[in-house]
Amino acid sequence: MAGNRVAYLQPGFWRKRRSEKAATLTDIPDETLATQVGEGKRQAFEELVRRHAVKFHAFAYRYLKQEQEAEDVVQDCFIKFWQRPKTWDPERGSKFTTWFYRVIMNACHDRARARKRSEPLSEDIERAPDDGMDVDAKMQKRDTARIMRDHLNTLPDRQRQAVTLCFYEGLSHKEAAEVMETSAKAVESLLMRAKAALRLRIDNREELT
Amino acid sequence: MNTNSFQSYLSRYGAELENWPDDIRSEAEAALEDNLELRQMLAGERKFEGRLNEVVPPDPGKGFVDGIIAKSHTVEQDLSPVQSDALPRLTGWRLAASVVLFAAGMMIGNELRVSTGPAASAPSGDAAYSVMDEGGIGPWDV
Repeated sequence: MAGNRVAYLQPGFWRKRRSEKAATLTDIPDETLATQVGEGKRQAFEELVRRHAVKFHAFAYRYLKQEQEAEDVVQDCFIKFWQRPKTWDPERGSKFTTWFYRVIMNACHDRARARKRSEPLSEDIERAPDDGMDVDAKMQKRDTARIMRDHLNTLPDRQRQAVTLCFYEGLSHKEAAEVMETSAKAVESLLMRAKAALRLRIDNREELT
Repeated sequence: MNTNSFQSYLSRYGAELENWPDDIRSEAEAALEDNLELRQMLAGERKFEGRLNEVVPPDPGKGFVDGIIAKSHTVEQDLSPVQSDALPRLTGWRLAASVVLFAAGMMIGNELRVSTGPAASAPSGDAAYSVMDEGGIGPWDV
């Protein structure tokens, strides 16, 4: 008799179905989800936010150096995307993340420019990861992080963007070039100059200390 | 592969050789086996990248993601095509309008030149009559 029971009456059917649905949602590529957002599918939008919001926040933070501003920029960009999802054009053939990095970068650029015109904000103090180290080790790690951040901040904008996209965000040179609206060769050149400048600053500092 | 080219590739592709293009990586791996200087350069790059990795941005926390999702519930979606999608369709019309305007401008300009051009350079007053007396052409003869 049990074999004749309708499938959805069997124990665990709905739980299994929910987990299958969740699994399929996480398997869907970003580009498909972004297109689904354009069809008004809220779940697709939420999945994109869950997947990428923290990563984009890190990117915006490296650009703006201010946590609250980075949060605002990422939130604004996602909300604007939800409001006008057709701004994403799948026919252009770029990855969703590549396109969204460019959206975030432009928003950061506008925000930084507006900030320059008004009162400059103080930058947040760099945090070192808290992984159970003793106080001295934590302080040393924090100092190293602060020094490196200071070095990064002295780089010209384009060089810093290239380092952020390629090194921290793990984008290929081609993807970074798309975000920065330049060529892959130009990105390579920016990276080389940025690293050379950073190495020089680190060496100079070590000689002084 | 010499030290200069190796350093250049290190700066371009980083210390993780898996991220290097296949053809360059195999050449680099072969060179690394024989060359102590290259191995030191690779170790230096790894140390340098380790330092870069010390710069950790703050974690915005789970409330950040939930906040974005919650805010999206408060705004309406506009599913109409964006302006930039409509612009390419207008390009043909713009081109046609430009051609018509250009042609109209040429015709009007030509008319104005015919009716006013020679008059502007023609002698006026007594000088005009003296030109006529000498058998010259008055502006009305054009």
